[in-house]
Amino acid sequence: MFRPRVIPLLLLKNKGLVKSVKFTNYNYLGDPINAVKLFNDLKADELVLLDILATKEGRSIDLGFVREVGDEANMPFAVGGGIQTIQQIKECINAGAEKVVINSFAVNNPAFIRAASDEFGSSTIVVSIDIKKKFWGKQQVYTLGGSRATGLDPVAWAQQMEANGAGELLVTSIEHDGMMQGYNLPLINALSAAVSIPVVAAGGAGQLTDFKSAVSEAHASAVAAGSLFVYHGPRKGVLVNYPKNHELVNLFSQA
Amino acid sequence: MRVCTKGVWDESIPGISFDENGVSNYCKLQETMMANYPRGEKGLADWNALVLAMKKAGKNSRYDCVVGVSGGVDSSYLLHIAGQYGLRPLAVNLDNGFNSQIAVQNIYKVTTTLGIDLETYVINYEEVQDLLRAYMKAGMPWIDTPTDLAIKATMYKVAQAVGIQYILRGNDFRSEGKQPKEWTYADARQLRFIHKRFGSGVRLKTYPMLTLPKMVYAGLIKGIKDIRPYYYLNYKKQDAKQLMIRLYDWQDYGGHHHENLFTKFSMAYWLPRKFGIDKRKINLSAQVLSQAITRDEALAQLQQPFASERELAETRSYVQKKLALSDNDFQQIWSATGKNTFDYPSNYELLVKLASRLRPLISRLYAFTPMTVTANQVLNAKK
Repeated sequence: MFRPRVIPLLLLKNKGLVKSVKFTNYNYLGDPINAVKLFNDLKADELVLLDILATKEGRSIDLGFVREVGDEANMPFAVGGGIQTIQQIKECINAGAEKVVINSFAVNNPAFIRAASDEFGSSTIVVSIDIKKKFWGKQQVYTLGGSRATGLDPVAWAQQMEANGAGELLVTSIEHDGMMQGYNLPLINALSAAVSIPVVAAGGAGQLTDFKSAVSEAHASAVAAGSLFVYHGPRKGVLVNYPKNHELVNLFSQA
Repeated sequence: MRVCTKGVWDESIPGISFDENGVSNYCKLQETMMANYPRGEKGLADWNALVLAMKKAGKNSRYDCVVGVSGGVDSSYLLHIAGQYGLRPLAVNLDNGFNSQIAVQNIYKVTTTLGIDLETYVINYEEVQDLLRAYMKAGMPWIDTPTDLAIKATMYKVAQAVGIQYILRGNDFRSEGKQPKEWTYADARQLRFIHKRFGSGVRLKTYPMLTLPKMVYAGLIKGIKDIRPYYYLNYKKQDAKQLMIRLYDWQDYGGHHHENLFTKFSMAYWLPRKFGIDKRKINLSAQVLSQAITRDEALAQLQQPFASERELAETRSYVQKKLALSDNDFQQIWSATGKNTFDYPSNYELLVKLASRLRPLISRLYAFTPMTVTANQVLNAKK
């Protein structure tokens, strides 16, 4: 039965898996390969793995790591972090990734998305858009792990990326990240309405019903979550989990 | 090979001796323990007294006790029991990066169903990796020592941090028996030595280290006590499994301690193939004595492989990859001479020397006489 994709979003910092709150306070969660193995055994739909230091350190996500993920993951997965060349995308695909995620470099060089999409097909190219409200200002696009404001309007930027050939948008509300209090529904809704390519909602999922809201109220095509899949209970014990397929089917089929 | 007439302990076990009836000293240890910790009415009364003490100590707190959980049957069932006796446990899991999906799901199901809070302690994986590699390079038999020590240390750490006085652990000598010290003796001093000599210099920043002074501090100043409910309560692993499956959709994972992939590798690959050590002999003997299985069943189980060849090969290659050991590295480690725990410095000598004087101290740290103390009296009595 068709249902929206539900995607664990994993952040890599140095060699460890981490989870942030509002893109800061990174909490160490353990070995990323074990998490990938667990999500594979739990039959997650898809995975997204982002190296959050790569751009800042002027490199791209480690290919050895991508290969290891490929060895453990039977499901499709996307990788991101510091990607700036066609060659790097080719290497990630050869290492087993199905898609690549591009964020900061798209802002520096929007034409790169066009070139990458022409080369690999739009379904390979995911553009990640991190958004928060600037002090006193309105919502705008941030890069470099939420540290640099670009002044770009999220809706206009999303439309530009679609026009340049992006196959999918991964939209994260920085203010909602790690809060586990629900997605930024108005924001997701605004972007979903503005483009016709899939919008993946990210940032804020705290319970399964948040997925439902993102899809039914904000019209996201798919949902991604971090905390929800790695924390358990009030003390936030680190425990990888993922709902069973029938739970998800039920969830999304409810009126 | 000579085999104990009452259990399945045999001459592959260090320090074993047999009396005129062919009964081993290990069997006598097991009988002594069973006599020291009777179950039935007396055991229940002892346990009820402990429950009262825990409730009293925890009355102003959200929790009465810490329960170490691994996803295995012993610890999962312990949560069930804690609930039955009206205790409010805080479940604690140590994550060394090798938890299996079944284990993780079991912890999730049981804590969710019972509404028990879970605290986890995640060791930085690079430290785990370096420690496990060091133990392999050192040629130690029980290479999962860093995990065992860390689990214990984590229980004490969390208990102190949250202000809980009682630690419950799922150990059950009636189903596990006592492993010979040559195979498994371990302490923080030895771990530091092995890591320094065979590690690659990764600093241990997150690895929880329970040194002797820290343990004494926790026991004497903080009054933290370590309790093993199964010493007192009627516990049958097979029945417990069935109940857990029925009530919690708990899942069986095969062999003893196979809930953790590195432990599985240590038990089923490293020990038998490199050292000819089969720890099941100890476990099964204990089960025979406690009448959970018959001696013939135990002997038959020993004839069974630990797991299929294919599964074992997969486990080995996963471990190799997780520890970043090339085929060449692994070959070198594999062909190096095997050692035992007394080939490296530890606090063992010191503890044995102080054993008699430490008794009052030990009785304040634990709610029972630890098996090691009894083992020293029984196993070494003849020498």
